[in-house]
Amino acid sequence: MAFSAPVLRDKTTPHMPGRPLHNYLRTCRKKAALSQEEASRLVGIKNRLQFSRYERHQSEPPLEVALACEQICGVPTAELFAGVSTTVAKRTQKRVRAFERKLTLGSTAAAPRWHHIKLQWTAETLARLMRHIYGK
Amino acid sequence: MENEVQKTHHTQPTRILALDVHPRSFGYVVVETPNKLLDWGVRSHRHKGNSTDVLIRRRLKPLLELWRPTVVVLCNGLSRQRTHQRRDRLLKRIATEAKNHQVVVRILKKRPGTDAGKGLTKYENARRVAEHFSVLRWKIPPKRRAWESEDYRMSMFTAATLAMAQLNITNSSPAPSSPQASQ
Repeated sequence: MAFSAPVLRDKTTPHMPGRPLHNYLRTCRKKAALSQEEASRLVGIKNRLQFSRYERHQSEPPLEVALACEQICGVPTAELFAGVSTTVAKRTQKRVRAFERKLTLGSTAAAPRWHHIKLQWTAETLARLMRHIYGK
Repeated sequence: MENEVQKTHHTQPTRILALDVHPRSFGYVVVETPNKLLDWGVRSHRHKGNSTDVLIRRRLKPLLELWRPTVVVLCNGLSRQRTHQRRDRLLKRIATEAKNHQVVVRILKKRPGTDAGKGLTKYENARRVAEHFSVLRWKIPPKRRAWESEDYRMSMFTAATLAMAQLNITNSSPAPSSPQASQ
């Protein structure tokens, strides 16, 4: 059976795809029926308010806590902190682009072999980052 | 290589915040993809004071900021009862707040699953929702007796039904038989 209902008003604006959330900590916690206090103890934080801040993206967890979250939730860090991961990927992409431009300007026919290897690597990295940012 | 890469399109998810609004509370569900339930619950304000204001500013606004939905789905049953008028005012305020956050508002005329012929009760709908989203299974309230008032958690399941209607989720399993359905 399909759930469907007539629409009364549909204030259509150009549909924008949703950006990934900063993190999915709250979802993972609620799925396990854990309270913030229990979850904070499990990931090794003394204060539950700090865990609440991580959930609301008011502060970033340190690497140790992020890895503990991954181990407790059973979700890879890049998926658990999807928004942060995408932001980092975008910044990295900019830096790789700048690096590629620099390499292209300096490339000549007589360039050494490692120069071509670097160019190929930058192209592959850019493709990988684009897949990460915009999905497959 | 770069040209190939630039053809890549966005495949980012659409987040839906579905609300089942009552005069002093609302049940909500946040769904990202048909199988990805992000958040669920009931928010209420049953103290003295302007509950509409508190519900919007202290209960709804944090949800909009936390989940940043692309669509807010509401249900508006047409009625002239006084409580319903109060609920309609709250609906209007919610729609305004959502628009302030640049979120598309979709208002459904009727609660899904109540079409003539199908005749599903709220409890049956809740069962269907729990079949689809297994994390909600332990939240199903007991079946209401004729002399009891509705469990507050039912609002959350109604919101989930709205979200499923928005996502056009098909649940092919047969309806559970309930000869003593009371709602």
